[in-house]
Amino acid sequence: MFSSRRLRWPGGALALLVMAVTIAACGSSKPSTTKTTSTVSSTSSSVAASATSSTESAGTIPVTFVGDETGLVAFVGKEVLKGMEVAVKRANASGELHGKKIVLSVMDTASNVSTATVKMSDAVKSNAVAVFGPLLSNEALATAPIAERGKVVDIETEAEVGGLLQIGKYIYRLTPSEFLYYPLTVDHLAKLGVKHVNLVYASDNPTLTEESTKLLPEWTKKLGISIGTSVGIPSTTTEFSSIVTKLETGKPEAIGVNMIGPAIASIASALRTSGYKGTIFCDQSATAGSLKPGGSAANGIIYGVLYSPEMSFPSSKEFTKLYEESFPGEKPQGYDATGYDAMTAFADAIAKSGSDTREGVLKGMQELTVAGSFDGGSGPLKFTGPEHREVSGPGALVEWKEGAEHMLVQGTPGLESQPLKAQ
Amino acid sequence: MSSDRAGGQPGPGGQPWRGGQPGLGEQPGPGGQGASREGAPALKIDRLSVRYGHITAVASVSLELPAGAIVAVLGANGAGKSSTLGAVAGSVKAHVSGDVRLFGERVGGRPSHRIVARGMVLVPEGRRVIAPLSVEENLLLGAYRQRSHKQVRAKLGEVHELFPVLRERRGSPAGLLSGGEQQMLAFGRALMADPRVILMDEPSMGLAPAMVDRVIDAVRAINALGKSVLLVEQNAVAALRVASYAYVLDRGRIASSGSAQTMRSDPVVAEVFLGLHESASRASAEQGPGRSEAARS
Amino acid sequence: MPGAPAAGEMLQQLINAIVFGSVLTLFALGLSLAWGTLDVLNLAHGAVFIFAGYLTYELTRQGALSFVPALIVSMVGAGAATVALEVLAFRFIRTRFANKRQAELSMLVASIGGAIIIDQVVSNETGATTFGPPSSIFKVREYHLTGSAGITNIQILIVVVAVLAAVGLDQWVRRSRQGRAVRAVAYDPVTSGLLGVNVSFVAISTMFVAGALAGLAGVLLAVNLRAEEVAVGQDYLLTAFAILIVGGVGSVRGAVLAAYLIAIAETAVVAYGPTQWRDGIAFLLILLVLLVRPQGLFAKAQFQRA
Ligand SMILES: Nc1ncnc2c1ncn2[C@@H]1O[C@H](COP(=O)(O)OP(=O)(O)OP(=O)(O)O)[C@@H](O)[C@H]1O
Ligand SMILES: [Mg+2]
Repeated sequence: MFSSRRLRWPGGALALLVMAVTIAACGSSKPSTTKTTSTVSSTSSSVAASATSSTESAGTIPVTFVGDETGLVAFVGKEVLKGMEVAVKRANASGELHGKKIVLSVMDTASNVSTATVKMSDAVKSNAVAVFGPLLSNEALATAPIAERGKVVDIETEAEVGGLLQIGKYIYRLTPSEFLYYPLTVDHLAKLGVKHVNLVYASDNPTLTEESTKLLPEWTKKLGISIGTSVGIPSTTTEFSSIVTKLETGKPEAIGVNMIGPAIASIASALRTSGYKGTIFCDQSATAGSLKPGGSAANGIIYGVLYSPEMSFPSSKEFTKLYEESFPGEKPQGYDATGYDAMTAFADAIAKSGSDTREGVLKGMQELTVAGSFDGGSGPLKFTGPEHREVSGPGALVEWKEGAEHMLVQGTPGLESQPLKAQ
Repeated sequence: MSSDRAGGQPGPGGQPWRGGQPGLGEQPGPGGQGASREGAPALKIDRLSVRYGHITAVASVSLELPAGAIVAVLGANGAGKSSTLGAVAGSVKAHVSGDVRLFGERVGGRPSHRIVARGMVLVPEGRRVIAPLSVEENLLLGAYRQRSHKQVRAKLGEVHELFPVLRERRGSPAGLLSGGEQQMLAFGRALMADPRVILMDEPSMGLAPAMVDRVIDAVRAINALGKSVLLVEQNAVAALRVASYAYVLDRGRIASSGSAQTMRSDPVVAEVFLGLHESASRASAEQGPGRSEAARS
Repeated sequence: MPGAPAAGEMLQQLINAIVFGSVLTLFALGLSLAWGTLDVLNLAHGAVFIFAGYLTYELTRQGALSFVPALIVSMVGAGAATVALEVLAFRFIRTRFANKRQAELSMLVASIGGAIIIDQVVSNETGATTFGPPSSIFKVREYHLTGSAGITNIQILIVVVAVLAAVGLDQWVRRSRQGRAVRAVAYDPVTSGLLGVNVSFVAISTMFVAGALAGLAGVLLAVNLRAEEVAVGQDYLLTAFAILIVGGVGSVRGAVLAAYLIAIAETAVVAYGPTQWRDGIAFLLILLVLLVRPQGLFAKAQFQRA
């Protein structure tokens, strides 16, 4: 999800200079190194209720989240961590860990590749039996080989970069790939009677480009929807009026905004200001945070999500309830579910193999993939991909309305990666 | 900060300051003897030292500019002339100590723009016109501290009268003027601030003999407006033509001083410092040892 | 009539280009002022621009302030942030380095440091995510023109403000007493001081004006875009460089002309060409201008004797 855009500064020598100085002068690596080795974060120590010490002891299962606690995607890292904490709490209380307790520690990568590699090495050298990978794709690509060489299972979340799982058998990714949710959207558009769609996408984001130029046209064609104008723009674009004018040509019933971040709200609000009344849909990477600034102009935007608190799967309901208990007054988000799913898979693996050594964790994860699926916060998750080390989920289609997501359609487990049939 | 409060003297709105009779031939005595009849001299520098790190450029220099007079400071290259003026005008980036009084008011240690506000302006070495700005804009800049449009216009008229070429070339970028014209512009710009004291750093530098004469005439004309002038020069002949009193600066110290006539006729001074009787090459060849001997004499 | 919608669309794109050019103008004016007069290539300009948008967001999201007061406070805040850079960094560099080129480079690096700090502050406060002032602070209204074309009140405001700011700044720099001092300080600070100019005050006020202009652009853009994030500032900074180079460094008129030129070129590419190349257009323009007129379209006339 954070594959290319967030770390992208505008090109050219200037950007290089900026980056160079960022790395050299910015304090981002400094505070994190002072915070060195796996201090059990205050929140996670409360989770490991019975863990009196973090040293290796018969009753504990040490694991480390090498994640973005600070830095560019700290707002994601913090949520992922909260989800993990909820999952630890659930697993520790369930008794499925043969009487042992998971103790989660955090090493902050500060969203910095070099910091991340240092922290991953530290984690591999520590007594952690599994690591949970950093969130940014470039961090994940740099750290996964370290885990692989150290023979430690590395469960990645969020990082949606190709080639990650090919690094080796210790690498897993438990965040469902985003475009699997598209069928839900297209299906819904067809039900609304949409026949013509125009599209704008971030041309410098490989995932969104592939989705917009290959996958989406295939799905829409099957359902009798035609794509008229399809405009690729750099994700750093900040001037949208000319694009909006172009998107409105031909009066499409729906407009797809396959962008990331503020562009979605900006384009949506520009479309509404200029009087566009049709449906606006966007990629799963639309988040509450990126739509909120759009105000009422963002009302009615539809998009796929991997998790919604309104999901009715038993495991989803359990997660939602546990989260709301742990963090009263907060609503769980997709990022929370991601962290929860990753940690739950780990706990299930240990329960399966009955061993909490590093090899035992690998064995357990392999057994879990053989079983084919597990129940996570985002519903029943199925192992997919050539290596069967990544998952797909049912997902849901939501509509943004007055500052909140409302579930329109819940996905059907097992159908998510199937081609759609016209209804 | 306006210059109106300058030392309790009439400000720019009033008449140019005139201390006693600014007769050109007036002979200020050495030391404090020739002080202004109104009391304080226009400028009194007491034990001024300027250090650039370890290098002492000016060492305990004391000198006095009586009100309405032209006093010359002569010295060879590197003698510390510019350092002295820069320290007095507040523009030098160095360690400065000593006392500087403008009509009795202590001004030492203030930044340059404050000193301008007190009524003293430096015409810097090499003219330093603001090349990209027009001649007129340079002049207007000289009157930066004067906010009254009318006053500025009136001053501009006076300066144009004194230096007609500045009117002719008013629209031209200052950088395109000839050296002599630039010097007139530097003078005119200084006058725009309506100062009581003008410090001039080698105004004849790099100019042809005919132009040097015109510069000297201009100095005289400026003095005739009632401005006290401290004239730093290497061209002693020219400077002594217009100054009434002169100091000789050598390696940061006052080596000798006296009335212009005395200085003109002083053979040692004339020969060693000023090269009046010798060729330039000869003078420079002897400069090293000869200079220090003369200083001690 | 088949021609009508296309004509309306063309008019709309022209309006779009003019509005875009106006935001670019506002942004580039401050950058040009600091660079052209004080030789400060302020890479924190984009960060200050976003900082102002962020301030407006903070000040308005709880309904504390309405549009105009928030705009003014944000402009002052942006000006103050730029002044802070001047006072804490640029000033010392200017006095410490005798070598102008070295000083310029040091200021460049210092301004990157400033940009990082400001960006980090905004990121921390916004959770590194998208932010924008609520739509309620400025009721956007669209006025219909012919065909499908229309223009909104915020767009009109942006164009008017940009034109006023450009003319005002041009006149200020060219004609006013203070503007003259600014140009003098740019050329020779020591001599300016000898003429009675308070050099550090001039530098501070110039940087304040530059920052406030960035703030003005930032707030108007935030209201127009609705959503911003830190990276948006970098995008504008880069385009603004193109503008300064195409227009000729230090020339207000050149900057304005170049801003509209680039806006029209980019809009034309979006409307009729390969959209994803719009950013490339700005740099293609730079290249062309540098080949034909290395000094920029509106370079200063010669002022030094050969
Ligand atoms: N910024 C500086 N840093 C270090 N030393 C300096 C500086 N400026 C002047 N000096 C030194 O101080 C001494 C006096 O210099 P100053 O410029 O005052 O002499 P001057 O009499 O004006 O010479 P000239 O006739 O060449 O103008 C010289 O030895 C010079 O090298
Ligand atoms: Mg000198």
